[in-house]
Amino acid sequence: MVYPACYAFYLSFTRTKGLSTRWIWFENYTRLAADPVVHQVFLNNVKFLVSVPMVIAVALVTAVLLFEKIRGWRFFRVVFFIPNVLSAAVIGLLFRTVFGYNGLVNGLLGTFGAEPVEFLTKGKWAMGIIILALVWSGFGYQTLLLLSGLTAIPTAIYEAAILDGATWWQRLWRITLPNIRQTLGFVFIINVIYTFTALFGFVFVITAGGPGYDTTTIDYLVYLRAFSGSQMGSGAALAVVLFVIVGILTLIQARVFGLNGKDAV
Amino acid sequence: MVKRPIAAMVAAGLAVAGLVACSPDELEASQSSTTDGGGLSGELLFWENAGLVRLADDGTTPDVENSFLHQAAKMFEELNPGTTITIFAQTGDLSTSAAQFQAAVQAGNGPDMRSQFAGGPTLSYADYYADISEYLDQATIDSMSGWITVREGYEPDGRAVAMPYGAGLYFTVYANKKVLTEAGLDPDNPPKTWEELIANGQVVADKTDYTPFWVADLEGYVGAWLVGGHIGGELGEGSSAAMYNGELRLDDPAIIKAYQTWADFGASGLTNPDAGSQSNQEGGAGFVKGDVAYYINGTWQNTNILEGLGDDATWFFLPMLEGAQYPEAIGGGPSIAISIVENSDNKELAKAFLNYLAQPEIQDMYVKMSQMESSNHKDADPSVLTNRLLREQAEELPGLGPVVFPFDSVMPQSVIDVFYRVNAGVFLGSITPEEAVAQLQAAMEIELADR
Repeated sequence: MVYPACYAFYLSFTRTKGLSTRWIWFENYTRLAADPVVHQVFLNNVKFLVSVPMVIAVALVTAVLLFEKIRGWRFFRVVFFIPNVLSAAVIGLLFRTVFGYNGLVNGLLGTFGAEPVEFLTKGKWAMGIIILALVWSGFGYQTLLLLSGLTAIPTAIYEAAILDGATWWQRLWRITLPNIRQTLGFVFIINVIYTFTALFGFVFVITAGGPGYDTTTIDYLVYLRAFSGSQMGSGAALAVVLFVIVGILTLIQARVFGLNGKDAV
Repeated sequence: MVKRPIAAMVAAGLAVAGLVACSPDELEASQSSTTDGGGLSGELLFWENAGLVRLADDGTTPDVENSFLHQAAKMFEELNPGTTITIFAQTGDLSTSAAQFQAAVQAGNGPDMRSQFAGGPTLSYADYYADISEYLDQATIDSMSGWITVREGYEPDGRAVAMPYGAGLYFTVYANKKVLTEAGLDPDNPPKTWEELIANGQVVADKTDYTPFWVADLEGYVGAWLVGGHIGGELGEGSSAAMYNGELRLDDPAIIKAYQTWADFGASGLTNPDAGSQSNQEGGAGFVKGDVAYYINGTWQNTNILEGLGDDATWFFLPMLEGAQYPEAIGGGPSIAISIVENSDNKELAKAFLNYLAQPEIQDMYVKMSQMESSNHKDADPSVLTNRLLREQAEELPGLGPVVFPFDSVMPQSVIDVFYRVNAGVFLGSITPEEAVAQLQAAMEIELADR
């Protein structure tokens, strides 16, 4: 792990198309700072952060319902996890097919007399579809993480609360959430990391970053710069910046959620 | 209980032994060409990404019987027993294909030869390709045209990193005579300017239920042809090299004008409503269904269009904007470039195959099978032009000009990538022409700093 990371750091100070290399100090970084495409793509990633509270909210509700062993909980526990065993390419293709111009959703809209929507070629729609794909594919795993946190809460606490007349909402807010705070913090952190580093597959398959750069993410731009555009140095510099951003965000979240080495999941 | 781990260890050991047996060194040795006893032998890996392979209807599997490169390779193998040419058709978009190529070469398992588009898509990877003049004699080089498009810096004395193949492809508007006639338009009197073409499209929309224009711009290619073509009409032949060398800024007013035309076209409502979702591969099928008046594409579609529409098919070169400085400019030029990869271990075999492909009769075979373009060999046989559309184009070309090597042929690959992206955005109205050219200029400045 150390070698590729150090090599990427070294490349970020060079100009290379992969075969020969020239040292250029901080030029890649200064150019990134002034590049309008990079600005737009960073903004895109910030927009994609919307998916984090969404996926956690869905996962939390699902985890609580499974924890309370609602009817058919064993079945749902398996079903909700199924998207996690599918690759990003398969999920991307699925969403692309369903939301394509001639796809299922537009077919349904057509039956109600509505005009078809260009879901994948209009920037805001396309971003929404990718977020939907991310939430759909990720919430099962997050649910299991939260469920593991829930099962660690002693049942005696709930029994005592019920005897004291606490309602379902009171139990959720006063017992459940405070007791899974660290698990929740961990789930938040990995989701933010996913948003910055794991959208590549979805973006690549569903929109290829388009239209224009409307759905391009930083990790996808790293690929475009390094391999498609043959600017390995620029791509590496962007990867380093991404690494720093993710690191800073992780530290901030760890502080906010009060995570430390001993208590972290 | 103990048996399972032991079995797993044995299996792992066998797998490792198998891998060692097939180590890269051994594979390379077995694949390298030799001149055993004076004859050639060995295996040559050829990656194709420029139209020398014809694909079946699924868009990914080569149609071997009708694929020029496969047939040429087969003939070469018959002439040189002991040689094998393996062809891998890169079917992804240009950026992805280029990325695959670079990654493979860097990993040491790239091809020995590659065909790609001439100009920027070749010169952007010049480091990866050998100096082709070391593998062709001067007489062969002199017998072919189009060398400037594969020379570094587009300089006459620049290092040639590929062999140009074919006389050139040109941006074309195909038309359906039946649809135009029903709309009351004369198919034998094509529009002289872009504005006239749009007016004709409006007539089709007003008088018929047909779609005026079929556009498949998912990848941004149609925008590239239209914007690139119109830049040529505004700025002429020298603009290509000027843009490449940084002497002409990419936010020049003439380029913004070309983009504005493209944006207006996107907003006109005269195209198929799913234009932004249709891929380039799907485009031809949409047009030849027969309920569309015009299809903006290039001469590489000649065969598909003629097969699909028959006698109803007609064409004209992409018309320039009203008041253009070069109203008869043609966008296009040499398209296919064949390279030998610098770090290939099979250069002798690659040299032999390259020289085989360079023969005039083999080039004629390419023309005969593809019917996309004429040969760029001085001894070409014109009788092989059997496609009516190609024949008409070949007859009309000499009287027109200048021929402008277009933006997405000239520019470095990184700028071309941005070009395709912003084209799609401008067409759909998600970015303005001014924003598009600003992004292009920013990408170009990075490239210029690299030189």
